[in-house]
Amino acid sequence: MESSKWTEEEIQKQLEKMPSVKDKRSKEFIFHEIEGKLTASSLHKRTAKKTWMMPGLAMACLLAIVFILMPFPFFKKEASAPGPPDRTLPGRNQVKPDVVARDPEPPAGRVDASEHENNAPIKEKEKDRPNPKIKKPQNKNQGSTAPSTQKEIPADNKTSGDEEAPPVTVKASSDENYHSPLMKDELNKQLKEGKSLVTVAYSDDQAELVVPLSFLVKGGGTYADKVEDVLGSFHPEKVGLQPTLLNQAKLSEKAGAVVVNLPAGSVSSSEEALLPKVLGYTFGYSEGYSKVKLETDGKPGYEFSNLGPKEELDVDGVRGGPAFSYMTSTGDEFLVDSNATTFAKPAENLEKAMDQMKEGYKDKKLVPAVPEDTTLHADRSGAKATVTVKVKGKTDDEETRKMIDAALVTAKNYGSDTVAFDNGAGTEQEADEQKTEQVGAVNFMETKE
Amino acid sequence: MNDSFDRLYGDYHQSLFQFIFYMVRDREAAEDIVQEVYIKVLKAYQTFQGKSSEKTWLYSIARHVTIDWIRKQNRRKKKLLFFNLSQKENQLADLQPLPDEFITQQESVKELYRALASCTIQQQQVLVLRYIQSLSISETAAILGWTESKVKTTQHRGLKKLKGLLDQRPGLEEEWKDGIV
Repeated sequence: MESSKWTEEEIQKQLEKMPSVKDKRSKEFIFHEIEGKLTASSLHKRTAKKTWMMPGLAMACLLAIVFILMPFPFFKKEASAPGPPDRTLPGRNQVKPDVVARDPEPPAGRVDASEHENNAPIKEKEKDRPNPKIKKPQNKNQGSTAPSTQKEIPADNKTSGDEEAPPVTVKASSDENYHSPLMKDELNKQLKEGKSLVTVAYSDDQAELVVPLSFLVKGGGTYADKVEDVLGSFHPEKVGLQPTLLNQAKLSEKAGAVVVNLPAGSVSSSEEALLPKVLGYTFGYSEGYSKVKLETDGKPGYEFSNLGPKEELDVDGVRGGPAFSYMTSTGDEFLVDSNATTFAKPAENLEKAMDQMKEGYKDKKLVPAVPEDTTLHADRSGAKATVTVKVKGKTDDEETRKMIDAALVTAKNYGSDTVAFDNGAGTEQEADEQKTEQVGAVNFMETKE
Repeated sequence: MNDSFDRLYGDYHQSLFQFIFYMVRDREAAEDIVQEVYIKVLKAYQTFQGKSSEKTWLYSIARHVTIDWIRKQNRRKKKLLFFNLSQKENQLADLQPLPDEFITQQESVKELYRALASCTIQQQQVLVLRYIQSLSISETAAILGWTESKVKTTQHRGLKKLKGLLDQRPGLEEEWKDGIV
């Protein structure tokens, strides 16, 4: 028997004709039910408070006793234990525990090892140096290590007084694994609403490339403060990425320059190679800082094993090269410039970059964001690049979108302000939508309102 | 009667109910959920700042309450499965009778209703809001708190999934085109 072939248009029409389902109850009946429940819930609230008061007090007393009786040398021994630097700063992540990301559990092996070897010493170090920025987003959950926030907060909870929520809360699980760029129109709309764009670079597992992730955060403070907020509340492991040396640095701004204060000996040689990328994409990409000052435990300069002593590093001009698709172990997909890697050499111009986009670095998991049967050609006139898309086979919309995003990012990397897509025959639909849009922020991480 | 309720009911009740019903596919549950939505809305009504439209606000609360309900149901099913008690329960849930509104419909409509359940929650939300509720992409994005491009992608994936499922059922498309009831 021959199977039927539906088109998406037919399905849309059919969905539009789905029967209307109505509530058959009367308005009065519903109001009566609601009224009853509202009364019951207000009564329950009062009794509930009383019910929880005693166990709460008992728990607080118990915790206080345990804390007092905990032997002091136990901490001291752990604090003196040597170990490699931990990239996950517990202090930060404990203060803002309610980051929600796709995978509720971090990779078990890594966490176990760091728990035993590294967490305690860094906790002690954190105690020793007061960090006013860490205290800033204090909330009711402070001090609690329970990851009680792995679920979405209903909208009404926010409106009913949760004013001290952390600034960056990434949305819970999504079937969308590709973190597409945020377009400029939408970004501007968000900025007008008082949000700020923060881009923070995270490393891959092999420390061979960085992936800049963009967040929209609420609240004031300097850009460095906002980067700290992101570092403190976002767990990159949830999207298959790794924290960087920034996760153990203290960030501040002095006279318009960003100051990165690192603990002595905290930067390994592999991290050193990524250092300009991490700093560049975090501070030079969206915010346009040109230099980052370095400090070691509050004193100017840092002694690197390969780079030698450095008091500051240039972070401008990080943008560059063609964009590729990079998929992490969690299946999350990002766009990564060749300049964000330690191994790729960016093409000299946009035309060559378009050719490189087709090749990729498959052994490094950087794959072309362009489908095999598609060719891209760029002509640049001033700040405007015209990209011609030639599709031989049938192109999936998702693939087309990724390809267009990658072409936009690449064109932006080569200094083009506007990209017009002239797709000829085959992808008219996409051409209409994407013609004049620009990239506002790469690898946008949607946050909860 | 509470004035706010009176107005919200008049403006949005049936469309909210329809949205919830298509998500949970159970009339009784939809009735409970819509009440729960009103309770939350009325409690927070004074604090509504008007940053989004009232409709968006209402729908986003409905969406959260509905998703919470669906997740609770899924957890319940998982627990039952763990204790090996679930077979009957799951069969009952999966073979729920079609709502009255569907009984006289074409087979293709019934099949589409069933196929919709195989989409992810996110795809279902988008498909219901976009096509059954006839909301625009920007309204859908505002309700879901997503970017418009994410709505488009999810919509595309949802339609693709439905197409895949419907293509496995020969004859439905012809029936739809011929208008056979």
